Amino acid sequence: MPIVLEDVWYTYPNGVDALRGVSLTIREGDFVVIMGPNGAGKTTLVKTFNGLIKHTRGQVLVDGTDTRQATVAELARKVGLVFQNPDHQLFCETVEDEIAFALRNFGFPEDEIRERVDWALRTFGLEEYRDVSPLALSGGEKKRVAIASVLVWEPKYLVLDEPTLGQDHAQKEVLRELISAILKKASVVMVTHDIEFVVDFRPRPRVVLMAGGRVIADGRAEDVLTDPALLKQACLLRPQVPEVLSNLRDLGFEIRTNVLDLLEARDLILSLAGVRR
Amino acid sequence: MSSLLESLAFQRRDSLLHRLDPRVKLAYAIIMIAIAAVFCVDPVSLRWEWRYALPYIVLFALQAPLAVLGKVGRLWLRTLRASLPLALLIVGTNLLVTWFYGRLDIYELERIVGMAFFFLTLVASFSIFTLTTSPDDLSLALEQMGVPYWFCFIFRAALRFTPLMAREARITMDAQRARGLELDKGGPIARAKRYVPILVPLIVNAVRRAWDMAEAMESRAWGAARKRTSLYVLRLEGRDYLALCIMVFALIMAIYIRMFFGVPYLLPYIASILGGLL
Repeated sequence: MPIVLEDVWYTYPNGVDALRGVSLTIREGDFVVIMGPNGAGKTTLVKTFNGLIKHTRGQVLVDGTDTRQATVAELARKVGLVFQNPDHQLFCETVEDEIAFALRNFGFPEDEIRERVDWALRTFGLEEYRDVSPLALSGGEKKRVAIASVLVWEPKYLVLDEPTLGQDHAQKEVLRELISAILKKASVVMVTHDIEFVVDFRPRPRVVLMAGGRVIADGRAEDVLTDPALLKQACLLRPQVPEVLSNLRDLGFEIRTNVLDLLEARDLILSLAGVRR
Repeated sequence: MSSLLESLAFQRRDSLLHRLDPRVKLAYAIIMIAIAAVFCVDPVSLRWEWRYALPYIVLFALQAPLAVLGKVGRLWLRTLRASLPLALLIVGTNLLVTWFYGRLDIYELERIVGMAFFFLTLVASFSIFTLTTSPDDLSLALEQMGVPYWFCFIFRAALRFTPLMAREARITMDAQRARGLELDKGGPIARAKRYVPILVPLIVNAVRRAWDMAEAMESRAWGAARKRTSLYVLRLEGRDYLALCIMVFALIMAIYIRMFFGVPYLLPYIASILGGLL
C-alpha cells in the first residue's frame, strides 16, 4: 500500500498557500527526491505524510489511512521523518537514550529496545558514542544519531529533510551509503537542494520538482534534471555533466544532453572525436 | 506557549499608534498599570487591597478600541487568548483558597474577578505597547532616557529573539511528535514531563545562539567606543504631547474618582437585580 496524495491543498494560518493541489504517489520501495526553491512547499508536503500538517483540502492516504483521521504517533510508526537540523530534537543524556526515545514512546518491550538500539549503533557507526551526550557530537555525528533515532523503529517510509545540509564530502558519502542500505528495507523520500548529491546515486531516484506549492515535474532524474526550463523554474543549477554536453551542442556538435552519468558523457564526447571504445 | 511568545512580537504596520514616540507608548503601559493600581489602594488607609472588579473591567474594555486603532486587533486578541489560562489559574486558586477557609461569598467573588481583570489589563496594555513598537525604537527610547546601552541591547535582543524561539519551539515539538511523543496524553504531571524533550533543545539552542552572537559582536568591535552616538534621535511631536496630556489627565481623573467617589460593587449589584427579578 502506498502514500497517495490527491489534490492536496494547505494554507498556513497567516493565509499563505503552501500547497496548491499536489497529487503524488509514493510506492513501497520507491526512492523519491523532492527538489525546488525555498518556499516551494517541500517541507510542508512531507509533513502531511505523518499528519504533522493536516491538509486543508484534498486527501492524503498512508497505506489506506486518511491522515486526518489518525494521530501523528499512529502515522509515525509507518512514516519516519528526520528533520533538517538535529539540534532541534537531540535532548537525552546519552546517544543510547536518544535512539531509544521513540521506541519507548511507541511502547516497545525493553529487551527489544536494547536489541534495536544495539543494531542502530552498529549500523550507523556510533558504538563508541553509546554513553556520550548527543549534544557533544560533531555535526555529521549528530545527523547520524538523528537518522538512527528514527530508523530504529523501522518505518516503512523514511523521509529525510535536507540530510546533506552542512555536511562535508566525506559525511555525504557516509550518508549516501546509509541511504542505499536503507532502500533495501524501506521507501526513502528525500528533500534536498543538493543536485550533485542526487545525480551520484545508483540507481538514480525519481525526482519531483516543486515550485509555488505545485508539482511542476515528476519523473526520471535523467529527464527532469537535464531540462533547462524546469530547472530554471525550480531555481536549480544544471548538473555539471549535462551542462558540458549542452555547451558542446551550442557549439554545433550533434550530441544528447539528457545524460547525468560522467562515463556515459565521456563516451559520447569520445565518439564525437571519432574514438571508439 | 509559542503562540503567547509569537503574539508579543512587533508587527510593522502604518497606524497612529505605530507613529507615536515609543517613550509615549511605554508611558501608556506604565500609566495603565498606575491607574489600575490607584483602584487597589484604599484612599484613607493607603493600604493595598483587592476589593472591586468594575474599575479593571472598564480599564480592560478601554484597551480594545486602542488595539483596533493600532491595526493589531486580531493579534491583541490572540495575546489575550494565550494569557487566559493564567487568568483562569488566578481565579481557580483564589476560589479554592477562599472556599477552603469558608469565606467564599459574592464579595470574595468580586475580589477574585477583579484580580483576574487586573492581570488581563496589564497584559492588554503591555501587548498594545509591544505590538506597535519595534524593538529598535524601544531600545532607542530607553537609550535616550539614559538607560545604559548594554542593557538596551539585551532588551532588544531578547525581544527580537522571541519570535525565533517560538518558531524553534514549534519545530522541536513537530520533531518530537514525529518520534511518537504525545504531548496531550495523561495527567498534568505526565504532561509536564513530556515537555522536557521540547525544553532541553530549546534552551541548549538559545544558549548556543547567545554564544555565537557574543562572538560575532565582539569580532565586530562591540563595546569598543565608550560614548556612542545615535543615527536616529527621537523627538516628541505634537501628537505625542497630546497623547501624554490625555494619559496624565486620565491618571489624575482616576485618582480624583478614587478619592472622592465610591467605587460600586458589580457582582453584588447584579445579584441584587437578579434577586429582585426572581
